[in-house]
Amino acid sequence: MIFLYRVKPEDVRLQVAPQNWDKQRPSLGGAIRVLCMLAYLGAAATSQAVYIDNKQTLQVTAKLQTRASIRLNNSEGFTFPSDVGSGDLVQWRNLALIEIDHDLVNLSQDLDVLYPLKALNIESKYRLVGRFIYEAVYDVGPQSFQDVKERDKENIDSFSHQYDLWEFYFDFSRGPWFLRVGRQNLAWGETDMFRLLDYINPLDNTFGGPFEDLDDRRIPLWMLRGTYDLGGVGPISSLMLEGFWVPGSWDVRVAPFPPVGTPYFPPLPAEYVPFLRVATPDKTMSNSRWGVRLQGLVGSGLNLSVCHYKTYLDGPALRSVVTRNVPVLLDLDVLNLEASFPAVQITGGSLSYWESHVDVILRGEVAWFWDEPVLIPEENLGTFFGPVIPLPPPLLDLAAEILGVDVRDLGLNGIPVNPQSGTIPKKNILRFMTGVDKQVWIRPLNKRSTFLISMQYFGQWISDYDEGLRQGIALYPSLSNFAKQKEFESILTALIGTNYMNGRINPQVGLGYDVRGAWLLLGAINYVREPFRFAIQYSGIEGNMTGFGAYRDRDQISFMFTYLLN
Amino acid sequence: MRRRKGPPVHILIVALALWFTLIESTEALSGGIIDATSWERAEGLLPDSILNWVKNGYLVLDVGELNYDPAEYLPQHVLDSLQTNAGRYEIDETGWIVDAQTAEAAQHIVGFPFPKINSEAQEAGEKIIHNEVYTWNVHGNLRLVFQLKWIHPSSGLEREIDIHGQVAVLQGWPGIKAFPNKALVEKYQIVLVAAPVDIKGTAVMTWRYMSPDKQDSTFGYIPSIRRVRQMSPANRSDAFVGSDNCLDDGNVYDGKVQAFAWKFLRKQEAIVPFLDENPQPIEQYRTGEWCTTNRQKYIINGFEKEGWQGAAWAPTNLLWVRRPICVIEMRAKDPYYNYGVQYLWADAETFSGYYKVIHDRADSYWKTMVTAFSGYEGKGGEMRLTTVAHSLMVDDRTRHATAIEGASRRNTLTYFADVNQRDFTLAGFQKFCR
Repeated sequence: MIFLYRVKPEDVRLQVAPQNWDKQRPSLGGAIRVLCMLAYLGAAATSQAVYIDNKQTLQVTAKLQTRASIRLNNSEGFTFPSDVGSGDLVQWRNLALIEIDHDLVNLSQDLDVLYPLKALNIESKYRLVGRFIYEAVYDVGPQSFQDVKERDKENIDSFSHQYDLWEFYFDFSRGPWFLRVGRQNLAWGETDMFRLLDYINPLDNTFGGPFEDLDDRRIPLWMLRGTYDLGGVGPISSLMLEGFWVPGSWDVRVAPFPPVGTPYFPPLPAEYVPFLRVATPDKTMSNSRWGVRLQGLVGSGLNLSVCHYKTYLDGPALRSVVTRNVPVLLDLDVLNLEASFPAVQITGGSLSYWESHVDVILRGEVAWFWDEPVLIPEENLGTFFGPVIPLPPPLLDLAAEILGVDVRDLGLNGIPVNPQSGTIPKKNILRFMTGVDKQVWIRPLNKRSTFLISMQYFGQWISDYDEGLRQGIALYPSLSNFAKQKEFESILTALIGTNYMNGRINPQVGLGYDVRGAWLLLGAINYVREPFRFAIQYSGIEGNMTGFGAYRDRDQISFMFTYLLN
Repeated sequence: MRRRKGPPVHILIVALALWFTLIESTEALSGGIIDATSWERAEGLLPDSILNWVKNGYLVLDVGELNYDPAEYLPQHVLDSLQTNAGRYEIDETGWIVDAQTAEAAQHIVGFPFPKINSEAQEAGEKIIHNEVYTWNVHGNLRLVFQLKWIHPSSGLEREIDIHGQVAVLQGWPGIKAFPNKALVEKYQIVLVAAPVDIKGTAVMTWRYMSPDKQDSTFGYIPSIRRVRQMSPANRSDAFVGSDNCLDDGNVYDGKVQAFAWKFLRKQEAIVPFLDENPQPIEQYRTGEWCTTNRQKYIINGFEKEGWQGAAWAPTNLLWVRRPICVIEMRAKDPYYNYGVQYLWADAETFSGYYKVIHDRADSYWKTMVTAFSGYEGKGGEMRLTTVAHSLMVDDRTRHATAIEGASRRNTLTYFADVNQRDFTLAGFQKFCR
């Protein structure tokens, strides 16, 4: 790997531009003052809810959390920096969330400005969540991460210090209508761990990758969401129509790409990194997310929904881009590896049913992804698969010295002639899930509380399958071999949890198994001592380089300490 | 042989013994403190477990008398029902409450369905429990704010969960005729966790059906998955968020009546807890709702009282009074239920459930639940009701307890509340979810 990090850091910074972490940066002193104030308030309030008014309509809550994660593997190849290994700190995330919930029911009676709400008999409330993050690993972590910061200071600073108006929405309800306006999350479907119909909000995988809770990774969007209660129709009761719209000219954010060299950067070959350019959708109305869902109960036990929506998937579509017409690809500055986020439409449905005889909840979900971008290297990276001028090995050695890239690693034995940009092939993909949840008594292990056991099967079928389909996972050390994408893919998951000592100790184990030979194990123990929470979490992946197996050299153990101002 | 004048000696001895017993009983029940030094005075008047708390010094009873009759502190429609519903309803073999004349399922029951119960009858226990369930239904729709408190026997308050709720009641009060009820629902209920912040936003919606063989429909919103999920209604004996209570322990018993086999054991007098000797105030709002006020008496728990020597969970300022009660044996039909036999002590006149003594699956004693009641009165006596003021579950194996702080100076409970029935649909439930 003689060309590792051959590119100058400032080039990387220019190409992998900060996208969603370019928020206003708070001063550290200000943050400390806020934390001190919260700690003081919390100490005063012990564990009781904090209401500002006598009628308990205005509630303030807060959460302060620090989380340190230590890696348990050495890099196997495409995890960088490669000298960060077992025993090294890879995360020290400090989080403060301040939440305000305010029911305006009383205020609308007293404030003239809210008279329309009163006159129209509209119930209203709002919720506001401020989020502050400081990731300390770039200041106190291994030297390699401090070096990453030194090379890319502006980008890493804005990434590691974030200050967001995280959620802010108003609720209005009157009769059968309910409207939520503002920055919010919306999740449809019935799945845990992996998403099918739950692609409305993007995920932030930059700070913990697949080891973080799904909900902690959701990024709220500015959204207009409404439901209408249709009542009962024939055998269907509690029928409701729901819709959402994220105006594209306002908010079209997608899953952020972590800065190069950060601990949860995707396992990409370092040779690709200098060419990487992330292209996010433009803020135009045509890039709006939208969707509708119809949900109801058949009988009293079968909960059914059907939906259709437009969104942006978290994984970017990759292709090579030649920025200038050149007869021969001698100048690599004309070459980019573009990671873009084409819109995808998804049609699907979900169901859940309580089966009384064996007392289980059966869940199911199916989703048809229309024209989802896929990876067929010959098409996406077509630049490297066109005609070439063959060169003898000594000349290729020389070219490697000059260009900084050994083109043989890309599967070439010469210089591309009349290079063309790659294209993004698209396929219709069917994904589905069946799951079962059951609470069981395992009295030899716990006499007071049940164990919740949840199991899911995820399946995927690609229509019009092409043998050239690949996952976006390069197989180390090759730069041109990618993990195969099969026509059918399957993943099984299981989750089990209970509580001991009157709910003070909460162990939980999660397991994921990709039938192609990759295992994901998540084990956690939470301890509650008001107003604190302590948690230890182990996250490990073993097996083949497929799906989540791409992160198999990033096992970690995390320690979390949380303080709650209730 | 000279005949002795006057009563025989043995009759005198018996009379003397009876007199002393009466004096002792009257002394115990007319006032005074019963503590570890005088626990014998409460013998036979309390469940053994509670008597042991007194004997061991965990609990001290301040015995006295009420200045009102709880049996008269009921809404007018309930008082009316004592006459109008006498003999009106029966329980059929499938468990439905049916009209005694037509044998058809009763749909608009107002007041107690079984005001007169023949204790010799086989279904006496079941009828008493139906009435006990209706002690909540008769107060109409409800809006609740309460706290679940985890209490360690020595260190005191460990944890507190703030819960808000609302209930649309479709049986038991006159307003039910305004609600459409095609699905034959007994009540809709939504509970929402308001604190602490790590579980804040958790919401559960339950539909309880009148049909004896139709299980509840339960939907839960879990903030960490951001979705409304259907939940199993079957695990009602599971510890509720790790507390000492399970779902069925709400209001002494909050499950389906038909889920248990009930057996009337006996009628007796007992000492039971009340909040105060006087009824507490309630006020009527513009909307017609009746609300508790912040002027009402509040419970002082052991951990909140300086110098208290008893258990941290013990309520220290309740008034313990004599009431006629019925003792009912209850046993779950579900073979996986986490409790064995339970004994419920309910008021013979108001059907309020004061105590529940819980045994484990091997029928070995485990826990006891104590519920204190209070009368409430609106200005001028326009509204009178008797309802739960405080609830306590003590696990005698761990000595740990969970208390429920209901109406208090910080909590307002609203009876005959103006509740929107649309809130209890899948669409309406959305507004309780983040």
